[in-house]
Amino acid sequence: MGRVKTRKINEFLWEIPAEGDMRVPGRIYADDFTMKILREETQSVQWDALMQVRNVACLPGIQTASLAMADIHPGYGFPIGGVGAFDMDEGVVSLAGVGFDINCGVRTMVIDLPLEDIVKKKESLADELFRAVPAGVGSTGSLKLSLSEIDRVLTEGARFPLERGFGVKGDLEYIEENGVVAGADPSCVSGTAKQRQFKQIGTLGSGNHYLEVQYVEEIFDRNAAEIFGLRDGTVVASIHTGSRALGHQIGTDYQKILAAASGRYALKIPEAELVAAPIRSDEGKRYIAAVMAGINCGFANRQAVSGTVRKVFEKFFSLGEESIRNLYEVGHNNLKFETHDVSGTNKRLLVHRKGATRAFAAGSTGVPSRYAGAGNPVLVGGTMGTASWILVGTEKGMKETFGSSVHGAGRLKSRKGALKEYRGSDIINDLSAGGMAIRVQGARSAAEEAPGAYKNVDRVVAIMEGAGVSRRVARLRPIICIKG
Amino acid sequence: MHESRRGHETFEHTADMGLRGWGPDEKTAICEAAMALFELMRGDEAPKPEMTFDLGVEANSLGELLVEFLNEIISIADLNETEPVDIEGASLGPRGTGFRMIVKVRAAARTGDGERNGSEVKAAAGYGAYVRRRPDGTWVASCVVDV
Repeated sequence: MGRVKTRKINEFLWEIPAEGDMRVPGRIYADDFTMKILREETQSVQWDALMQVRNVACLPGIQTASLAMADIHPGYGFPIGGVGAFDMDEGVVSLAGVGFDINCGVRTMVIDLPLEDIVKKKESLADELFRAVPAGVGSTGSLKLSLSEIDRVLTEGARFPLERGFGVKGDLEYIEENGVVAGADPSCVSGTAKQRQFKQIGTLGSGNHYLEVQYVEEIFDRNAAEIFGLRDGTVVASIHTGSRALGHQIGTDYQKILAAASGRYALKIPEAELVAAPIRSDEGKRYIAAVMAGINCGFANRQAVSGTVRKVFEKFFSLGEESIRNLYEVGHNNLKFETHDVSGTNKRLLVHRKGATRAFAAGSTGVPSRYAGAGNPVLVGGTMGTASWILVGTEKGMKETFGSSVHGAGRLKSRKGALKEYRGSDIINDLSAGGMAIRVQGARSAAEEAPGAYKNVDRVVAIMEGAGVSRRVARLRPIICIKG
Repeated sequence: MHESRRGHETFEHTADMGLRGWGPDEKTAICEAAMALFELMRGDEAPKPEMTFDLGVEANSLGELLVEFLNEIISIADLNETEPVDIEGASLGPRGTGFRMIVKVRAAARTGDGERNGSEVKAAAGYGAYVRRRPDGTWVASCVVDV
């Protein structure tokens, strides 16, 4: 069954042997159940995540393996959950390895309040958050800026909204890359992209983006939890959003440019959406500079949304700013220049993570000093009705996955399938009856994002732990959910 | 697929959404795929159109033209804060070694602040995009959009 030959390495790891045009093998972190779903999917719909893992393995300059994390499901070109690292001289940059939602990611903030206080006031707090945080299709942001200021957002990242009252200085230390990446060039971003974005800084968006108030339901790694300042019952607020329309437009604009580059440089691209350009080519450099600008826009957007959430909590509970601290923020649709061990040699690589989270282990460069003994928190968004997770990476993960892990539960059912099976109003009623305060802009969103439309996130993170590439730190349960 | 001479639908894609339009010629098939996009974007009943905008796209192949066309609509609708409703007129012809399409889209002003029940469509992806003639002589246009 299935078009791609796989072999089981162990209980949690499968391999697609390097054959034909493949330059490296494919490796999929999955259990038998996940593999069964992936194979069945190729029978019922035309999209084949395993074929996508295989196709990525054919790209020039790819190193070690084409990887898929345990939340793998079909994307376009790369699978969601895909990781590919490329040699700087021989490698390519591929649009599908980043996608249209550049630097989509999660910020989690610790709120110094007893859980009981939140539970008692969850409905009115949900109303306040829903009013304050712009969400849904076409919403406009709380940070008003002129069109000419957008270039500063693209180079300054999270610092831009911070300096305008959205957040506190300490936030930056606990953002991946301190909230700004080098190499962003606003001149590589189209005027259309900038025009679409300048009203959208500080918006949550739609689809699977959310704001949740959660609590630590169970701790699995006491040492890491202690380092992160998490205890049983700790209240957190998590924000899942990205670079919004700017990222979408960068993807659209460069789809054409990279398609032309693929032909110009005679790249052997196994399918159209893997359009790419050599990293050192003019087209590749310009795309990378645009993506870096998009990444900074994503940092700025989450900083602005987080600042708004902070203001709501401070006002609602009469809190001082010291009562809310940024636990961490990390993206999962990104390009990063990183140094990793490849066959015993440290190499500078361009790492694509499409629906995969950076998971640098204890002692790695780039991890905040306070977290040096644990590694960066890996923030895994779950589904509305179940749970989210905080993981950490391991040394094994640094070697096997270029320091990467899962980003979510991964879809089990298509959006259209979910719409057929679930009614948004039923989902909202069920979650409310279960004790959650939920606010959504449209019932369609609730149906598409129904908990049953996703894989069991507990199983997904257990696969990563079983494979030894991540460790579970804490399970978070939602109390309030705001969706666009 | 439906038996009618022209029409449109969405179809399954795990994380995103597929769009398909069909008709007696390639232009109609592409315009019907756009209608599927409009319905996906707005969700509920179509608002009454109150304005038009023109757009022109060029591409080397019909599949690329479809993706270009849908992406142009997504961008313009976002920039103008409008809801595309339907297509008033379209022309499709050769341009150099490729194709050029000119379209007049009827639209309504976007109301409220994120209150509609539609999907936020990020972009049309090139993945699996095609415009083909079917054995019965009609045409079909299909692609996946990122939502």
